[in-house]
Amino acid sequence: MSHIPAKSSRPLGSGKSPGIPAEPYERLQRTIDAVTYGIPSELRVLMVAEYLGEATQFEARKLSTRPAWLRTILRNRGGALVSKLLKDNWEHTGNSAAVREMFGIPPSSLHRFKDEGAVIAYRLDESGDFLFPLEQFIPNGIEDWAQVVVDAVGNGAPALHFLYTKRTSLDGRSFAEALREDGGTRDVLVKSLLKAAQRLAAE
Amino acid sequence: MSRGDPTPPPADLAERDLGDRIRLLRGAYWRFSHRNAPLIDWSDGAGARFSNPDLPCKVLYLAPFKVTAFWERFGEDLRDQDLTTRAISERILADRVWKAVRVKTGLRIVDLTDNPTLRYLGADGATFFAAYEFTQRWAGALMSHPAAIDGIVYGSRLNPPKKCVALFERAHSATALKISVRPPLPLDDPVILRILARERIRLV
Repeated sequence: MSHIPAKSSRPLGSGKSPGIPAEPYERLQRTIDAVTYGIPSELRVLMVAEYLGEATQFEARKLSTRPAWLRTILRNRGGALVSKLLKDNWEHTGNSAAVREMFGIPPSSLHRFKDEGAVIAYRLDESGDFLFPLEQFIPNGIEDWAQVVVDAVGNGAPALHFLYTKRTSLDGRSFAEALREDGGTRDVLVKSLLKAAQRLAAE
Repeated sequence: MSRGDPTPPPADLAERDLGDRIRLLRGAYWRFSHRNAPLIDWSDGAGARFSNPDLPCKVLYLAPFKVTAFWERFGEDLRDQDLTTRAISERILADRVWKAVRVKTGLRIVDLTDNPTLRYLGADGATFFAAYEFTQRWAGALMSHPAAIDGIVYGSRLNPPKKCVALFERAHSATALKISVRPPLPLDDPVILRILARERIRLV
């Protein structure tokens, strides 16, 4: 008699696995015994294991063809990534009060710019403050590239990701990091940023 | 010119008879277009391999597989991103549609992935992967060739070893093509979602 490969020392089908009744195991065991009757015992476990592997892959493939399910997974991963990027760049973001204090832009103007898509803004949750990456501000104004980024990828999480993801072309830095560091080559960097955003938006 | 340098088109390219090198292109292809673009969205943007506003023809880029069309469109940006933080904007994908392009009548093309053809043209396997300055010069020379070919087949740079097609806009091009926007939308398309899942590219 062959046995399904056990993952623990407890015999399968003993009825003691938490939450899994014994009966399906017993039925599966009887089915396997019937199907593998006449097959040399040393091959049975291997064949069953291979069959179960294929069956699992088939189910996984079926599952992966459900767009809503896959989309949710990808969005959840994206949400986690943006949270991490935000955490890594936290000290270079500010709310509207901080932006007013550092750059002299009144909150009412800032929110109008946000509504017009002229400034990159991210809201942590429905009721929370908007956060603004500080690299996009100049005294009393906003860099022109911010609107190009928003137009190209969309505001919020995608704009934040565009700014904060590290890039091979920048020697492993993000656009935000490079903008903070490269005072002397800022024009070249902004050109590169604009090119990257416009390439994504091109028809 | 040193060994390994990019190869410009030879001065006598226009005199080389392409007759034996021309193939008829038929079949179905994909294009991952912006939803606001015209149905046949010929391109002359300098940011692509075989087009430039100064060239004699506009170009329509096609791929036989959706996967190749996706990578040719977004591969450059995704390749630039750190592997651990790769993502693509949902908005960008939502702005796109799939266009099925059927080449109804045979279009006369030159296959730049065919080794004898490359040698005949004075090119090599790296020629059409060189800097755009060179590939666009080649495109201009091929567009202007007296054989008046309708396009080229070339190797995908961002999803090798798959092939792509660049059709040149000629007077008869539009009648040779049947183009339609096809469901599903990219965010509902298992092909796109599987690429993202397999390559660990997140949606943001």
